Amino acid sequence: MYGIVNKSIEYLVKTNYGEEKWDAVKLESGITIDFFVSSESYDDDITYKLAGALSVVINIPVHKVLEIFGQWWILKTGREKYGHLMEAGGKNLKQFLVNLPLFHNRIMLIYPRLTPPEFRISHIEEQSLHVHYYSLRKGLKEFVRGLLLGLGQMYEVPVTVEMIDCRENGSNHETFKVSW
Amino acid sequence: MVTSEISLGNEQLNRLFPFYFTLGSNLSVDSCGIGLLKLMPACVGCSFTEQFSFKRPKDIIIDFSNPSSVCNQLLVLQLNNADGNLLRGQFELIPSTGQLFFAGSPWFNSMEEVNKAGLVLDDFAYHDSLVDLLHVLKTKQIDNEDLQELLTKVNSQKKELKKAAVELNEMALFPMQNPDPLFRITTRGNVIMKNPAAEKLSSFYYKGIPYAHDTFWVFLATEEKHIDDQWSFETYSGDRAYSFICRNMPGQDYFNVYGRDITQQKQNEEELKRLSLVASSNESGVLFTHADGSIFWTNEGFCQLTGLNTNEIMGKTPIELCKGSLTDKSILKKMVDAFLKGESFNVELLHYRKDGSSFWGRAKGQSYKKAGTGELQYFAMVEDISEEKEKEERLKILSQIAENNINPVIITDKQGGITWVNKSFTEMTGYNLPAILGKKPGHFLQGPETNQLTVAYMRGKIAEAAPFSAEICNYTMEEKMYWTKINGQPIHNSNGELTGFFSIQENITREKEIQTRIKESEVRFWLALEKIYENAWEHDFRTGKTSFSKSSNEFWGYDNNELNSNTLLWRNSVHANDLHLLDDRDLGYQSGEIDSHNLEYRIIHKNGTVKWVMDRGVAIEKTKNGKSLRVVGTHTDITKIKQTETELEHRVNQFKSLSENIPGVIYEYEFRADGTEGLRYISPAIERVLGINQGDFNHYVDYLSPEDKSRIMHKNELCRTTLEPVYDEVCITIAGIGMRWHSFHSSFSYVSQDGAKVFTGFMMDITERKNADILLRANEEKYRSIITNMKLGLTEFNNDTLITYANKSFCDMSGYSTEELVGKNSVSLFVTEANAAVVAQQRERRKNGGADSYILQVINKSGEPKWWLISEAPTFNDKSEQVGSIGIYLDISAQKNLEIELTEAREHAEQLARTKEMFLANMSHEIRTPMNAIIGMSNQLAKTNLSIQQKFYLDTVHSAADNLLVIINDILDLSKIEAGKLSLENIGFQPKNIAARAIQVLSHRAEEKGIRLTASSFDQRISEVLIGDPYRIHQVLLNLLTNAIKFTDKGTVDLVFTLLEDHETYQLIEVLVKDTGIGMDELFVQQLFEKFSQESDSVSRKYGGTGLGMSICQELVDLMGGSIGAKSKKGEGTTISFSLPFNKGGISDLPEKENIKIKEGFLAGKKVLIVDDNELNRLVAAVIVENYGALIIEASGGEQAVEYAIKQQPDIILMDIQMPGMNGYQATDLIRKKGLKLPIIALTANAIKGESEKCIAAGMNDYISKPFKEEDLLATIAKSLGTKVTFEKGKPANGPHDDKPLYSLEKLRNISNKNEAFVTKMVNIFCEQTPILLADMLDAMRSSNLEKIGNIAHKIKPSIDNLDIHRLKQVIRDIERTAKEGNHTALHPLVAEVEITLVNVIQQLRME
Repeated sequence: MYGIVNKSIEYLVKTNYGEEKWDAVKLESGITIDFFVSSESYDDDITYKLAGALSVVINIPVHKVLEIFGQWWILKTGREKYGHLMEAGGKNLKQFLVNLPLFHNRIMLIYPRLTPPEFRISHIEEQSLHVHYYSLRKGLKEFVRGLLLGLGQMYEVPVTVEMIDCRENGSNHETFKVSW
Repeated sequence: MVTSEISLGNEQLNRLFPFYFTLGSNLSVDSCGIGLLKLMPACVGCSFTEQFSFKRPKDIIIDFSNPSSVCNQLLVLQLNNADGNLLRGQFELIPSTGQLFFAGSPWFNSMEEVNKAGLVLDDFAYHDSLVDLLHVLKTKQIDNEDLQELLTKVNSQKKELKKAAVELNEMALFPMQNPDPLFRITTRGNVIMKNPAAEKLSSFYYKGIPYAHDTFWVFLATEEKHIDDQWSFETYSGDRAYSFICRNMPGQDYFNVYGRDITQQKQNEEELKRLSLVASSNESGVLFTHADGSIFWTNEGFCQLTGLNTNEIMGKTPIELCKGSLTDKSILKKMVDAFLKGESFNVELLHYRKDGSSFWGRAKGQSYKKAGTGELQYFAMVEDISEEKEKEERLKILSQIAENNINPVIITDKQGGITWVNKSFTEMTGYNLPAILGKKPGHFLQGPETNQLTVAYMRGKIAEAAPFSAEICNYTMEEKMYWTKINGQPIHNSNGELTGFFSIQENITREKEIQTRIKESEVRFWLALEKIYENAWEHDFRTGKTSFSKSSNEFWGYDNNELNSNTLLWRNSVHANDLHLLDDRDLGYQSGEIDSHNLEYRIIHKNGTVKWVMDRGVAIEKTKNGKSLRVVGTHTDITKIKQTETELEHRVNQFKSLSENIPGVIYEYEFRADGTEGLRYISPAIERVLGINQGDFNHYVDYLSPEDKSRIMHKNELCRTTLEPVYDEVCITIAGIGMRWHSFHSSFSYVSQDGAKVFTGFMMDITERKNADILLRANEEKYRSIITNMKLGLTEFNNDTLITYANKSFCDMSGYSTEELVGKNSVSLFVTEANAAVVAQQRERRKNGGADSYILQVINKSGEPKWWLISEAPTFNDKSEQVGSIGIYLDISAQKNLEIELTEAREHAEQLARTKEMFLANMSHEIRTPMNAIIGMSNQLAKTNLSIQQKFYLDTVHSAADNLLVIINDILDLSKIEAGKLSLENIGFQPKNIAARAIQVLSHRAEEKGIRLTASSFDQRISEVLIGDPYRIHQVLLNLLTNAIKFTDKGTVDLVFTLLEDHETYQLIEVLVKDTGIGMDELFVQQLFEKFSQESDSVSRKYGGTGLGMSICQELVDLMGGSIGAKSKKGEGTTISFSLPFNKGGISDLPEKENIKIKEGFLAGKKVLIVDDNELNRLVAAVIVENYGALIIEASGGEQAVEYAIKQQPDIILMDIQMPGMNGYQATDLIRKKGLKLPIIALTANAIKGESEKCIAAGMNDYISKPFKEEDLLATIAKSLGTKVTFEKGKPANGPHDDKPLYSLEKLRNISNKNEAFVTKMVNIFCEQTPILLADMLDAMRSSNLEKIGNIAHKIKPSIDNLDIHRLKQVIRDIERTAKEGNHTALHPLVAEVEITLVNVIQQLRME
């Protein structure tokens, strides 16, 4: 996972819970890295440990932490760091989501050491579509849910995200129905 | 050479080059891409030069005649739009149109610009990497920011580290916690650091000049700059002295200053200096002499005293300098002697000055040894004491005055010892001075009458050295008493030290005698007062003192000592709230406003109780202005009077409060002596209660109704004469309020002084109670009416169960009249003996206060039995004692009768159900018996030679019999299931085989109809062995498949096995039977599983059947713990699915089937006794066993059977059970009793559970049910006879078998013209090669090599056809096809079927 992800978690904790909580999260996770460089590649385990530690420190379940983090990623990290790029992704939520696969294919070229997830879009309706999420990583589906919710907030559209299939059910990927 | 020309449509062009444009030869924009249109919406048709300009290279001119001028190079075009966007690309000439084509894309420096231009990702061609470049750029930018942040962090950490190192160094050089002051001063004198001790130093006193803190260091650094590395100085700061060491710090622009507090050291030095100064500046003369008396040092004081200068003094002796004519020589000698002995001296001598004048000097001298040399030297001091000497003289004069005073004077030393007395003293006392010198005056002057308190007082004053004044009784030397007033005062010397006392006395003996006489008269007066009052007192306003007459003052609780020693004690005992009375009184006296008083106030007795006192007084001494000086008075204890008063007042208040607050009116009514009467008193509450004022109510009769009025008048008259109490309730009408009910109650109280008889009474408003009474009565009436109208009987009883009331309904119910009921015991009237206990029990409950309902059968007056629903509850009086019960009755005889009828009907129905069961059992027997004959006989018939016509008839019979048997079995199954008598097997089975056999059994039927019967999918995850009832599953499958085939005219019937849930110990399996048949209406689907349901009569007519099949399926699936359902659409087909849970099993759980081979003729010579009342059945059995060589004996009943068994000695008996007369059980029993042990096999058509056990219990050896299979019968007989039969422990074999041969060699025979050698050879080849091919196929199956499976199937197919293995003909083709289609899942059941069937075929072939 690139450093920017861990930086974003750090940013989330410091902004919402203060420096002391971030220190507590680091202590809980056992991570001793002082500074995450955005374009450096870090072990995925670090990110999972940070999320797990945050869950313990602020006493909310890990899946909720991931969901919050997904929203944060879009609304803070995405907007602040790549605001214009995000804006170019689409004029509205639907267009952005339809462009999502293309977006990640581009990212793969830009971050050569990144194994970005792959997205596919189907069942495109007026008020909903299906987002298919393929990833080698496990356990980030709630992060994806957060991202999708975050996108809704970014476009100021009330959105519901329903996971209609997942790897636990024997599928090879997760499918979210996004309705707005 | 190959040339390729690509032409692009408009859409493609837009997708690939959204920002393209074409230019015509007139330089107009002919067309442009959708992307460019977003940037320049109106560019088409416009001139190129209007819309674009060349940014790089500049100054390009488009020349169509020379296209290369613009082609083949990178161009940067600027759009002439608001943002001046750039396009980056190139031109290309299109020869076919002569246009210039621009291919390129906008160039932005950031995504922000992209957004600003209104573009999104979709506007760029996928191959266009601009956005990605911008993304990379952004990423790099973020990286840079990160790195900068990291660098800042590292730098800050580096700074922190440096800072920490410097701090450590500083701590060593500049310890802040040092208690001594430390400074760090720059070379310019600026203080850059100081420790807390240094902070306290705000100013410095250096070299006599005060400096402020800052100017000092500037001065020191600039003015007193030292080039040495270290220097020091001393200075003062406040009252402290410091020594500072300054140290230059090498290489630094500052020096450190280390201070030390040297105040103590300085003080010591100062002290020394001061002492020498004191010595030199002493006013007394100080001299130091050598041992010979010559002066070697003197001070200024001595010079001044003597008027000599130092030179005149030095070397002389003091005697030489100061001796004069009047100097006392003896004292001089004393001094010289001491001097010569080296002793100290202290003398007073008249000293002479240089000018001849003299002064008294006290000379003190002391020798000492000079340090170092040990020489003896003298130190002497001369003090001028001339003034002292003068005072002594003055004292002498004063003594003269005292001596001659007319009043006696005594002077004592400070201990009180007499040092002097004057003449008057000796004259008055008779003592002379020498006799009393040194004695204390009290010792000889005091006598028996002397007041010791006065003596103590004087002693105290003397001890304090304070002046005193006292009157005391003394005695002369001749012991004559006299009174004297002494004024004494201490005498102090000039140093203020007490030296003694001086006292002057006055003889007051005469005044004292007069006072005594006055006192005696006063005492008498006081005594008189004391006798009369509790206390007599006197207050003197001048002294502020109050004295009391009684020594022990019980009134206050204090004695006089206590009161006198604390003058305010009595006043403090006065109640705080009453003190003002005393203050007012005192003010009155002192101002002259009053000269006597009379007060009542409270005092607090010493024991804490409160007493009321009457204080009376009068002034007995006044000033001329009439202001009182002395007042005497008395105290009278009036506590009891006060208490009584208070109590009285309290009572009055209580009564008032009571009469005003009780919810009624209190009154007094009087019958006067003159014969009149009326209200004497009425409490004010009358206004509140009645709204009438007290006066108006005197005419109370006006408020009464005429009726009440006359009654009340009458009662009043009675009261007057009898004085009896009176109670009544009247309705009072008051204007504006209306009618109110009031009760009044009065009784005789007293006779008044004027002779009136007074009644005291109480009146209260009872309107609410009255209204409630009325309401209660109305309610009671209402409920009685309800009860009556509802035809509910109501009775009331007393505790002896005697009826006290019965309503009309009860009379109607019971047939008795009210008169007949009241006073009668209800139990004896209605209750039968049988129910007496029930009633008694209920009565008992009633006694405990319980209410309850119960049903009771009673007898009415006519003697008819009636059913009553009785609800009884106890009734209570106002003391909560039970006084009886109340009962409500409802006649429920009609309902009760109905209930009884219903019970009878239910019992009848149950009886019918039992009969039905019996009927079914009988029917089973009755139908199966002929069926046995039909099937058995037609089987035998089939073995004979028959014409084609006969064979056809026989087939028809056989088929009809089979169908009939199915119907019978259906009905029987159903009734068994309903009766809960169907038991399930719980054995291991192979689900794959179940599927395969079901298909196998029905495949020919499907074939006949020309439809495909397949098992397209068998889930490989299903456990190889499951535990359950394979027969019932097979039955369900057959039923469903049969139905599916029956209702399908074309297409497919498919069987699918799927694993729904896989648990550790069990699996949930779903089975689908899908067909493409006629389908059903949705409505019918809902009732599909109901019994006897067929969609329509026409269906029933066309397809036959009982309509029980699906119902049985459902019952069976239910029994096995599963569920079944159906989906269907008319005309499109039906899918029936059922799911069942099974425990997982292993191969070891599979039952082993014994395959029996019976040799022909195995019954040769054996006598078989066939017992059956039905001739047909006997025939069937006989035909079968005869074929195997048995000799037949037939018996048509039990008795005959027993007879033949004994007489004919058969080898075995086949015994029917249900026979008229003696049945099978009884016959067997008898046979066994005769001691016969031959095997008896029961043949029974009773297919009911438990039959076999009954047979064995009756002594039979085995059991077989009709209709039976021939081989089953033979096997059972063989087993019973112990005949050797071949048991082949075979492979798992559950489920029924297809009767049709697995294969046929006919085809091979036909091919080879019946050349058996060829046939054998072919068979051998088949048997050898097939297992190999089969193994290959299974391997391929495991490795999912579908192609190979297809190939093998293709190879095996001819052999299957040639051997006519009909079951596999279609299957092998399905495998070939399915393999090609790549449907791996569907292959499993097919391959499994091939495997099973081929193994069976090979086995059978090898046996041939």
